[in-house]
Amino acid sequence: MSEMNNQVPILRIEDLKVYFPIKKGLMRRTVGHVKAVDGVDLQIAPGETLGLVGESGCGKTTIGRAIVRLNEPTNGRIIYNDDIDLLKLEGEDLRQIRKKFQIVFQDPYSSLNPRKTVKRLISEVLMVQMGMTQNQAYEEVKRLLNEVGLNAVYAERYPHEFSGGQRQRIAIAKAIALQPEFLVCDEAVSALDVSIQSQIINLLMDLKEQHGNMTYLFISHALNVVEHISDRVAVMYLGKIMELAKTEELFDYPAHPYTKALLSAIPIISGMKQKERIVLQGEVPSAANVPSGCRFHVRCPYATERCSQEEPALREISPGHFCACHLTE
Amino acid sequence: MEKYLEVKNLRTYFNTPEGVVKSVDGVSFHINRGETLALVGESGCGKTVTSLSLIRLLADTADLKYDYMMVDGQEIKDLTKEEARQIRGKKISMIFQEPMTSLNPVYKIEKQLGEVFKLHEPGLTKEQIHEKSVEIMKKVGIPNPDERLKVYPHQLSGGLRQRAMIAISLASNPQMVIADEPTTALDVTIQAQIIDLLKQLQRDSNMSILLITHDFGVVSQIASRVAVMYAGKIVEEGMLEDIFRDPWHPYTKLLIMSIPGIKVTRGGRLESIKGTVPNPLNFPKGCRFAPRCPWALDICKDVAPEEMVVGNRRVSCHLRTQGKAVE
Ligand SMILES: Nc1ncnc2c1ncn2[C@@H]1O[C@H](COP(=O)(O)OP(=O)(O)OP(=O)(O)O)[C@@H](O)[C@H]1O
Ligand SMILES: Nc1ncnc2c1ncn2[C@@H]1O[C@H](COP(=O)(O)OP(=O)(O)OP(=O)(O)O)[C@@H](O)[C@H]1O
Ligand SMILES: [Mg+2]
Ligand SMILES: [Mg+2]
Repeated sequence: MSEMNNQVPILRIEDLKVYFPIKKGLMRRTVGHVKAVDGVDLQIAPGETLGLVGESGCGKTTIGRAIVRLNEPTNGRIIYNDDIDLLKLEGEDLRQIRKKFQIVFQDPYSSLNPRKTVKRLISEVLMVQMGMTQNQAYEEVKRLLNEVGLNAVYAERYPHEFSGGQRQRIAIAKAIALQPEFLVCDEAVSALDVSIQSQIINLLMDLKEQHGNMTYLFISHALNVVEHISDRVAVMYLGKIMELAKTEELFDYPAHPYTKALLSAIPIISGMKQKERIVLQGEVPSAANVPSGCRFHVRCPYATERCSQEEPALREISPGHFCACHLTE
Repeated sequence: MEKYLEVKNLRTYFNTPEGVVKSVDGVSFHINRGETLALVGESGCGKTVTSLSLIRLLADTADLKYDYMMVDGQEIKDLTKEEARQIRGKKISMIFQEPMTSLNPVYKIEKQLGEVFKLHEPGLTKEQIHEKSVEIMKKVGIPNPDERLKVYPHQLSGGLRQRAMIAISLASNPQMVIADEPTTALDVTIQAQIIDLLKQLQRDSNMSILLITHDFGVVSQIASRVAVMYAGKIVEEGMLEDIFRDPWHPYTKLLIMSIPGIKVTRGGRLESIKGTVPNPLNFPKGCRFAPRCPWALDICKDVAPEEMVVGNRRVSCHLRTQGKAVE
């Protein structure tokens, strides 16, 4: 991809599919599949922030979890540094790579071990993975809490003794503790008020400068936050990438009808021109029963005969701008 | 207008090894029947603990006190566990900030929803329960509800899980709902659908709503009154239009200035309110906002401001009491 200046991508995702079996009856027979991710190709450059957006249930979290090896993809490869297939790693190799790949979960409540104080939760990984002494680790925990805007006295508390937004920030502190090369942020700032949200976004951007090449996959439904933080943005619909471009290009010149509809839903602040709101007809089809042809055609205002038969490929329509739509050919 | 809920001088403290955490420290408010009161304020200021106190879903380390509490015309003297159980569900139902706090991971959505219908509308047949379940799932904007009823919570995406939880909370047809950040994981389109649903329930059954959110867009769409909380106290309260047009408390003012949300500068630095929330183990002795207040007077650091009531507005700020404006 030209916009990556011919750098070796830190990640090259090829034809990734994650299907969940649907089981029925006493025999637990598989009667179908939820095609949560259904053939995704994506390259991420080192040091890049890639935004990932799309309607609820379209497969964003599932991609994030596949990258950090928290689910078993049905098909595909995830190549790290042009060399290692993450999906093939096992044992010690997997453990070594894992600390370079961290995720801030969408739901911090169920991702933080309820039986450990914050101090233990974070210091343990620092001691095991970074070889710190206990004292060094405790100091580091205090520093990390301050970074995410929390008082260091909180270190002795258990996860359930925090407010929702505080818990989300603890999950962030834990994820950045290991100074990962790659961080998946899954709705990582959605529970925070604007002031603290801003503080965390600044922190994420600072970390990038401090550690050189941190790479982010930034999943969010808050399009203004995505626009602010991302270098490029990928738009997903029902398990597939529909459009991918540099942030300015995507927000200023969206090409895919789905992207246009998605962006038109952003509330405009007074004083700016209100774009015409495109309201999509029909409901999101089921990922267990993906429509033929272009999976968006049943809701697309511009769909033609061809769209219902032939699935469009994700093609480069201008340098660095990719779109999967017959109409943009 | 008739009050549905009222609480005076609510104090919820947590006993921790480091000391007493005064999460809610003297909060008073009321909500009328059919009205929506929005409770806003920074992360950690005490919004969730306030609401959990009303339905007594607090950790054992909590110490709950109040001078007066009334729900649905009945004074509640000491809110025993049994009284609290009767309030929860039919009277007050809660939409939780984090769906997994209330969803049971080992039961399918259909069963969890069915339990609520069984409890609140005894006599419904299996088919009727199924029908009602599908209907409410549709109302909260879940596509293919039939499929979604048959799965466990972990098999749903974050946004679907949040909506399933909202469906369960509303299934009891409560007289009042506490909606704690009900739309955080949802995109604008679905967010609008949830707000419309709450409004419709309010029209149909005169439901009262306590709405907790950090999203002023949501506040302006549904709330009639706004209470602003800072460090365990309500620092200002008034009608939505008054608060938006002319905030009296400096904290409210800064909060409202941040409404446009993240200003996209593609890569630039973002502004935030300077300083951090005070440590709830050790609040400053004067006004709790004084250390961060750009307009603070000398007195603010030493003396806690008294609440001033003007018509249907109230504020706790020395500047206002002294007639000084916040520009
Ligand atoms: N473990 C699972 N078993 C079965 N289905 C699953 C599982 N995990 C996810 N799914 C389904 O896969 C689809 C994609 O889910 P995913 O969590 O990736 O969505 P998302 O884009 O992150 O949505 P949201 O914005 O709501 O978080 C959804 O239909 C979801 O219900
Ligand atoms: N069980 C507990 N033990 C000790 N402190 C607690 C406990 N539960 C909450 N707190 C503290 O009480 C304060 C208020 O918490 P609360 O959950 O009400 O905040 P909130 O306003 O809902 O914030 P958010 O917007 O982040 O959800 C926080 O400082 C929190 O750390
Ligand atoms: Mg998700
Ligand atoms: Mg809360």
